[in-house]
Amino acid sequence: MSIFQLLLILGVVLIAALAVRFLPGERSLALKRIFAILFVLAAVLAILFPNVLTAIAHAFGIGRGTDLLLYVFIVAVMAFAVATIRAKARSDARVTKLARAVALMDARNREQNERRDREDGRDS
Amino acid sequence: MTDPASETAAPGNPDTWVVIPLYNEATVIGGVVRDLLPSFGKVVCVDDGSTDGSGGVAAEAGARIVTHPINLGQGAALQTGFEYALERGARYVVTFDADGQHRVVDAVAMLDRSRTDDLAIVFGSRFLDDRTKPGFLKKVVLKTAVAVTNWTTRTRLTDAHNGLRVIREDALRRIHLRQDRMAHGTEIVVQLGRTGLPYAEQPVEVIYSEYSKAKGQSLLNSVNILIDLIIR
Repeated sequence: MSIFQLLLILGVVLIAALAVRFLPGERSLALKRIFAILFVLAAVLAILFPNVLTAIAHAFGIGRGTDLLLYVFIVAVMAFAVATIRAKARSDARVTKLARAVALMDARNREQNERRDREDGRDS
Repeated sequence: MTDPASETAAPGNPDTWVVIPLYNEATVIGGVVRDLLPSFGKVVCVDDGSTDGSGGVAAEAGARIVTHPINLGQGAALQTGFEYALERGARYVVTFDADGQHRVVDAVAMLDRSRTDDLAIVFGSRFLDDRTKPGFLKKVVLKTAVAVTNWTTRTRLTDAHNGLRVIREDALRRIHLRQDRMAHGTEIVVQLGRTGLPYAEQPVEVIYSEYSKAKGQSLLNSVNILIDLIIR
């Protein structure tokens, strides 16, 4: 095992540990954690035995294992981008509702105060 | 459903709220509100996080103000105005642009038509007569937006992105604008189409002043409208 392989494995394990610790969501959390552990196992195997990756690539008709890795990486990045955009749209919708509720509440309060002031003015 | 024949327009239209989405129009909003008040006693401006003091100018002119703490977009401002008006028992809502491109007489005529013809929605259209003179490019943009709207909603309109509309309370309750940005013009039509309530278009004049020309929808913005419509 080369030093670089060791560093790679350490990096993957560290990042996966952090991800498992801070993953959001409750319902699907266990599934996400299982997925992260499987990912770490696959990554460690691919780092230790690069020839296995090349063999899998050959089975898909791709020349090298690193090429296969690149293609999977690109698809994964796009999937991540879509998931992030959707999450942001949901979050934006929540912000809109919250801001609207604040705006309407503020208007109600202001009009109530104005009415009270007017009535006080009449009484005195 | 109430009997439309029994509804007569009292002076000042006390059953009607004019909803104006307001974003950085401090130089013109005061005049717009003052022009409206003799015909419509209840005007609410939804200040969409303006940074030029538009809200204060509108309040001074005599409008009610609802202030978004952050900028959310014109569709969101309209939806806020709708909920404000419904909270206060509005029977009709008139949507009106803040930049002074609409004429109050058109709004009055549309409201009267909604009352007499028992229409849940009256859309203003600048293309039903030849009073309005948009530039060639603007015409292409607006016509494209209308074509896509009609195609996706199975309605027959000539001008989907006109800010002047009259919406009755029953239709209003079924509108929940979700697109914060500009495609709400279409979203209103989509949601109206689903209600099956009666609607009509009324010819109105849109005044293209130098001011509104400088601020109006650019060609790039219409690209956004089209993409928003297709990707939902």
